[in-house]
Amino acid sequence: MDNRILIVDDEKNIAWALEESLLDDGYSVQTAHCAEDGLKLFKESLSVSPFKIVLTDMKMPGMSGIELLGKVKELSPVTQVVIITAYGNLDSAVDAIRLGALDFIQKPFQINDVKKVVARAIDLVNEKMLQPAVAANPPEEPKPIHKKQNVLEIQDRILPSGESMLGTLSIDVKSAPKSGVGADFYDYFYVNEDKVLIVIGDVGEKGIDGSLVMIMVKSLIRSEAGHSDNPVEILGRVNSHLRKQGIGGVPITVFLGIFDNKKGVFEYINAGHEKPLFFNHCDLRSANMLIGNGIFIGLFDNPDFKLSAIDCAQGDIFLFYTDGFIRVIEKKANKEEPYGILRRSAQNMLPEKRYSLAESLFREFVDNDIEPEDDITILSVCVGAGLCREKEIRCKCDKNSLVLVRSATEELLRGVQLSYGDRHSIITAVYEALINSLYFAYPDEGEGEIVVRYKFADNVIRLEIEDFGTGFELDKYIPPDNKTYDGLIKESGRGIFLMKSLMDKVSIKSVLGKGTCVILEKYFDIEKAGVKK
Amino acid sequence: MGIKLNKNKNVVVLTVLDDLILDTVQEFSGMINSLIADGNKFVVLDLTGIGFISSRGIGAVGKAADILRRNAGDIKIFGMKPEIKRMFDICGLDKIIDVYETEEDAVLSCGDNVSIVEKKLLWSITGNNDNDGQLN
Repeated sequence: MDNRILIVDDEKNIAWALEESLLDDGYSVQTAHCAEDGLKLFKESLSVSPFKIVLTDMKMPGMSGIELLGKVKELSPVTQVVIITAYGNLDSAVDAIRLGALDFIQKPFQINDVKKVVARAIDLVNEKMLQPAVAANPPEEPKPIHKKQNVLEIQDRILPSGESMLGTLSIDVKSAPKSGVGADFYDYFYVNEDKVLIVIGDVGEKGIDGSLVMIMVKSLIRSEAGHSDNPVEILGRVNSHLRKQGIGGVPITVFLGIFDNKKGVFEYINAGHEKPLFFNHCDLRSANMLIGNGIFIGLFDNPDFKLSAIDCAQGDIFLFYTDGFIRVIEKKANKEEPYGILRRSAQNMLPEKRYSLAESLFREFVDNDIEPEDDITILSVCVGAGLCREKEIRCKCDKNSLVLVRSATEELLRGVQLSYGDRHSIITAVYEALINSLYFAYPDEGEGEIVVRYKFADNVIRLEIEDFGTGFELDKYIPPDNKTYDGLIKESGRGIFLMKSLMDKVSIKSVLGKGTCVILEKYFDIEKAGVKK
Repeated sequence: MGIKLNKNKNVVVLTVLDDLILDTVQEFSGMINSLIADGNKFVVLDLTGIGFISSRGIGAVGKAADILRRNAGDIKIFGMKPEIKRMFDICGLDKIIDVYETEEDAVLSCGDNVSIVEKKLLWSITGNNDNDGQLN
C-alpha cells in the first residue's frame, strides 16, 4: 500500500499548495475540490490502493468535511482523516475529533506543521496495518446490502448557488484559477452583527508564491477586521504587515468594502483593482462603476487610501470581478470595449438572475473547454434576502449521526441572521427530535433511518425530521411547581414541550405506512434588518 | 467519562464535562443512584462546562432532586450558562431547584432548613422585593 494522500479543499490554491509540498516529500497525492468528488476518488481507490490519509477542509459547498469524515471512516477505518479548519472554528473541529479525525489544522497554516501531522498519520496507519489480525482467517461473512451501509446520504440543494449574510445580502461567487492555482482572492465575512466585509483582489505574482501571498493577505484582512471596521485602517495595516514581513515588492490589487446593514451604506476603498459595477434597484438598466481608485498594496509604505461610500437599498446589486474575466470578454469582443459588453450582459440578466449573477456571467463568457490565460473571479452581491436554501440528509439513526446533523445544521445557519439564543434554540430542538427518534422510533441503535430536511427562504427556517417509528405524545408535560415533580418524572412529553417552547411553530405529520415527521419552524424578521426598502 | 466526582466537606460535587445529552444523562442517573446507595445526601451539580442539555437531562436532574429529597438530602446547581438556565426556566426546574453563582455558595447552602425556592416564596407572600435568592 503506497503512501497515498487525498486532499479535499474547495479553495483550489490551498489544495494545490498542499499537493505540491507533499509531492516534494515523495507522497502520492490526489486532490478534489469538493467532498463529493473526494468521496468518489476515495471509493475508487479502495479496489486498487486505498488512501492512507485524507486531508479535508471542514467547510465546503455541499457535503462538509465532517460528513466526508464519517463516510471515509465507514469505508476504511484504518484511513486517518485530518481536518483543515478556518479561523478558530474549534467547536466543529472538536466534533470532528470525536467522530474519529486524527487531528485538525487551522488556517492559515505553516506547511511544515502540516507535514508533521501527515508524517505522524502515515506512521499510525502503517502501525495499524502491521498489527496481526485478531482471529486467524475468520470466515468471511456476506456483507449486508441494506441501508445500514448507507451511513449518510446528503443531497444539498442550494438554489441558486450562494450564501445569505445578515438575512439581507445574497452573495454569489464563481472562481476559476489558471492551471489549478491562482492568485485571485475573494472573501466575505461578518465584521460584527451589523456589518459584512467583502473583498476581492489579485496578487501580481502567479504560481505557488502568489498563492501563498494571497493566503497571507486574506488572513491578514480577517485578522485586522477584528480590530477595526474602517476599510482604510484595515487595508493600511495589512499593507504595513506585508512591508514589514518583506512581502513588499509584489503588487496586490484589492477592493475592500464594508456593508453596514443598519445604515444601508456600503463604504469601500479601491487599491488599484478593477472598478466594480453597481446596479441601482430603481433602474437596473443603468449601471455605474464605483468611483475611487488608489495605489496597489504591497509596493509602498503608508499609501494614501480614500474612503468612498454609497447608499444601498433592497434590490441593489454589486458586481465585482478580476482582470482575468475582463481579458476573457476582451478576447470574445469584436473591437468592442469589454466593460460595455459586461455591463450590457449583466443588465440583460437582471432582475431574474440577481441572486446568481456571477454564475450566469461565468457561464456566458467562460468556455470550460479552454484553459483561461489568467485567474477568473466574479462575485455578485444582491441586497435582498431572496436566497432559498434547501438541504436533505438521510442518516442512520445512531449517536454519530447526532453530531453530523448538528454540524450540518450549524453550516446551514451560518449565513442566516439569527441571535445566539435563536441559534441555540434551533440546535437544541433538532437534538430533541433526533433523540426522540433514537430512543423511541428505533430503540435498537442503528436499525433505522432518519431524514432531515432543511429549508430557509425569506423569513422562515423550516426543519423536518422524519423517522419511521412511533408518534409523539403531545401536551403530556406539566411544568413543576415548587412542590411537585409531575411532568419531570414522567417518561414522555418533555421533549415535545421543550421543542414547542424553543421554536415558533412545531407540528407533527403522520406519514402513512411509515411513521411520523416533526416539523420545526423558526421565523426571523428581515424588517428588523434596517435596509431601506 | 462525562462527569467528574469530587467531595467538598460532606457534599458530593459532580462536574459535568460533556453536554447533558445521551450517554452523559445515563451516567448522571447511574451516579446519583450509587451516591444514594452509599448514603450520600447532598449533591452539588457544576454545569459550567456544558452548552446543551436535552429534555432527558432536565428530567434526570428533576428526578435526582426528587429522590435525594425523599432521602432527606437535596441537589444544588451552580455555573449555569444563560442558555442552560433558559432550558431550566422553560421546563420549570428553576421553581424546584436552587441555583447558585459559585460552588462555595452551593456547598454552604446544603443542610439549610429552608431552600432558596422556599425563601423566595416566603418573601413574595410577605411582599419583600428582595428575591435575589442569596439569603443565608
